[in-house]
Amino acid sequence: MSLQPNAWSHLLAVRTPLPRWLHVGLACLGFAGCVGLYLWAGARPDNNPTFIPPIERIATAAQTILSGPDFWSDVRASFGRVTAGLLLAVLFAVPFGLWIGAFRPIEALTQPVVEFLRYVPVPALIPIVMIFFGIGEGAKIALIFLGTFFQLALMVAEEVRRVPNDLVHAAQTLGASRGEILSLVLFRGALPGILDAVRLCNGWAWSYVVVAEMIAATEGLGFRVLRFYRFIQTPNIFVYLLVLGLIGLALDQLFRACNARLFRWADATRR
Amino acid sequence: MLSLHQLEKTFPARAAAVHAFGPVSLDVAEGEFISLLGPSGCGKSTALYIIAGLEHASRGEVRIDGQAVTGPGPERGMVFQNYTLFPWLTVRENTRFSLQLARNADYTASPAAILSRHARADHLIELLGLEAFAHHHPRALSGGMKQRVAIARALVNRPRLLLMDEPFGALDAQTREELQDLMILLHRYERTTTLFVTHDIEEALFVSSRVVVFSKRPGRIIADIPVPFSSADRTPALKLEPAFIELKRELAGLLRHERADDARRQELLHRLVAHPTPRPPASLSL
Ligand SMILES: Nc1ncnc2c1ncn2[C@@H]1O[C@H](COP(=O)(O)OP(=O)(O)OP(=O)(O)O)[C@@H](O)[C@H]1O
Ligand SMILES: [Mg+2]
Repeated sequence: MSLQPNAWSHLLAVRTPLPRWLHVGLACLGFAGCVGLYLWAGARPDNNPTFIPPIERIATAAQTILSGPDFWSDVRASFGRVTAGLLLAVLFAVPFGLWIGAFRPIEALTQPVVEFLRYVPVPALIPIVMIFFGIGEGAKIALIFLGTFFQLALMVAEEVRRVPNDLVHAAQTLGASRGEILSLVLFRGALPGILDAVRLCNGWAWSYVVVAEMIAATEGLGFRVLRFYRFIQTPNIFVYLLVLGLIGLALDQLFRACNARLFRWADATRR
Repeated sequence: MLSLHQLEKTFPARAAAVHAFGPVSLDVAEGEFISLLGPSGCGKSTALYIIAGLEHASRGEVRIDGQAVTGPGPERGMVFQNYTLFPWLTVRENTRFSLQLARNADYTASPAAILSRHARADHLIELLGLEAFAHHHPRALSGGMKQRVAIARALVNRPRLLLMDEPFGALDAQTREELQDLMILLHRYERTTTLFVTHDIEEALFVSSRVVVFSKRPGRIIADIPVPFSSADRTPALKLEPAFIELKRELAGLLRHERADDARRQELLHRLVAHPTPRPPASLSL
């Protein structure tokens, strides 16, 4: 496990694998660096503790928040919205992307439109979503759906296109019908990539839910952050930001772990 | 059994159309093992893809048992030049792929008959020496193993015709010989009519009962030579027999004729010989 002294310079050679312990160590060092930077900025004589509160105050704020009634209902509300919007998007975008990737006429008909729609910034859709869906749960779910559906459909289509044509040919010479090629070859072959695309969309969905909640909501992580701002409760804001980051990190790792576990066969071709 | 009638393929292109091969006419009888030999780029793969139904012919037609071919189908199995195993399926699942397809399902078959088809897949795995790898995914296999699985997968459904496009082209010499022996063995047992594309003369003579030689592009048949050896004769020693070597010489002569040597290249070669590049001084080569 130990490295030769001259191996240190070798570590910076392109694409050299890193020992596990060093990987974890460096990751921790990155976080420690952030904390250090925060402490340093907080200790500067020109710092106003309202801007950069001392860490103890964040810790006490965290204690009060975690034992209070609002926190868990906020998490539950945001989590529910993201899950509902994302599931809906997956449900429709995966078959749609499969068709775009598999059939040229569908690609020609829909891809340019979808490309256009995905570049409409999601926050700009909020007014129109509110006009259509009001300010209830439906509006937030609709916003997440709109924000992820088009992106996901195009990413799925790209993954489907990346399944080698030779595999399609092989399946055809074995007697596969069009439907079987779609389900047994294109979908199966694209599945690891699709899961990865859903992971990315999940990250974006969390941004959208926070934006939506800041505009119209009575609970949720985004709503609460804005409320803390009204009362200039900086420590509380930092607690919620940490929570948002941790949720994102945890879900991302979960998706990666699923992908690695479920699609071990893809290891050699991906990553 | 298989007949090609005035088959021809031209790839349309904006600049200049590529005439890949043809016109080619060929009749293949039941149980024959035919090698298609020809220089690189003469249209062998294209011809095979057309017979498989994966590509359209520009002119002419392909008939199997009198039926015109219009698209791909399970009665024409194919082993490709590249590795085409489904990476998400294990070796065993790959060989059984065709059994799960609706088109190959026989709804009148008894449960015993269905089971026997699965048993056949396992039998082929065994015959091809793959039992130890049955539960591995393709990424854990060597190139030779992958092609064995591809052969088993193509044979499971008992195709009328087996098409092989330089299946051993990417393998090292020893693995290649192993698989050639295997093909001879398989053909003895299965008697599947086979069209085997290769550009290796020895391989063509060793495995097949008839060698069809293509000219350089656009490929046309310039020779159609029966190989007189029985399958019992086909041992490694055969390659040293005078009769074998004589046939090899004949085919090599035909192919040499088809080489794309042009005058410009000849001139360059002569110049190289006349003015050899000076070697670097010995002190530099440390
Ligand atoms: N899709 C295509 N579009 C245009 N030209 C093509 C296409 N496919 C093949 N060709 C051309 O047709 C000719 C025959 O190609 P083919 O792949 O059949 O040759 P081959 O005999 O199999 O060669 P090799 O031994 O190198 O595999 C080549 O000149 C190739 O450039
Ligand atoms: Mg070829």
